[in-house]
Amino acid sequence: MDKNGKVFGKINVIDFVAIVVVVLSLIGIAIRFIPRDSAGVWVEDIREDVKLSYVLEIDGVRIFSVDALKKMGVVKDSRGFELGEIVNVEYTEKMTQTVLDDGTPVKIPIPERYIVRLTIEEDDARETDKSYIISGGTAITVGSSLTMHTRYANCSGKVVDIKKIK
Amino acid sequence: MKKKFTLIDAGIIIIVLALLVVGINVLDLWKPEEVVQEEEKHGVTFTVLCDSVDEGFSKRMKAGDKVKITYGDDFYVTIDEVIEEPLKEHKYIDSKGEYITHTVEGKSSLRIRLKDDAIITKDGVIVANAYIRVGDSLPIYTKEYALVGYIIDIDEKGFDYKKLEKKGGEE
Repeated sequence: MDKNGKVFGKINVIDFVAIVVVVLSLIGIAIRFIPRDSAGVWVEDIREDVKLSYVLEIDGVRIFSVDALKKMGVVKDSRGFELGEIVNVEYTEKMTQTVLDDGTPVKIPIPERYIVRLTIEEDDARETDKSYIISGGTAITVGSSLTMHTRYANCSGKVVDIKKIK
Repeated sequence: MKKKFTLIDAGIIIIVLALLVVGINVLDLWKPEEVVQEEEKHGVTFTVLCDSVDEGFSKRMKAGDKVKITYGDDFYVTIDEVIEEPLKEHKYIDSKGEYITHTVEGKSSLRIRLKDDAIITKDGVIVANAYIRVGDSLPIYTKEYALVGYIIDIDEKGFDYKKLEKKGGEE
């Protein structure tokens, strides 16, 4: 701004602020009113509505969490979006690999630690060119981390499998 | 210097207000649809596991005692039962290539079952204004002691939360 109160030597500072505000308003209006679906995805990006089945692996929990997850039910994220319903729960002992004194590698179970695999079905998923999107606009792929809760348990884990059911 | 309020000033004010409204709407886009949940009060018990307390700690506690379970507001629940067991630890033994389990001298593990008239909704059990879930950390304290454990079990005492869904659906 110069000593005459002009920006770039031409525009009055008040006009400049007005222009910036108008531009920001237009951007805001565009974001607000360009159609999106319930998952927050631009409608133009959606290829199709799909039903997804994905497996969330939760590593190293105690039996109390396993028991709570076995009650199944709907899973939600911290914002309250439903991320699907648990249809199957499997668990195995958590294993660790170690080497015996004679150099033999062995796998042994870690006491009281389990790996849980939740199969979750999500009816309201979307498929775009780039990703699968579940409720709340969360894009998932094998390897994604998800934090969620059921009625009885909190859990966070990694997506290890995704299948499109229909 | 006195300045006149011009049409441009009025325009700027209107645009700023419009921007604020749009901004608020944009933020709201990322919230799930507000659902008024059916709820009902019902007696529940929940168990908190506190590992590694001093042996004999349970003598300080008895069924019927009121304990505070929040750091901020005064929310009290009632102790239903306290079970003290020797603390067990698992230690990996290199030479054997396996874990052995041993008890830790002078230390105990406490299972404290608490009871309260909780609010039950479709989403879970609310105690002290917050949902409680297995795995949540929970403080338990009185003026005599303070412990921190985590929730290992929630028992709704036969309450069928699905009836709340039906009630909501009928409306």
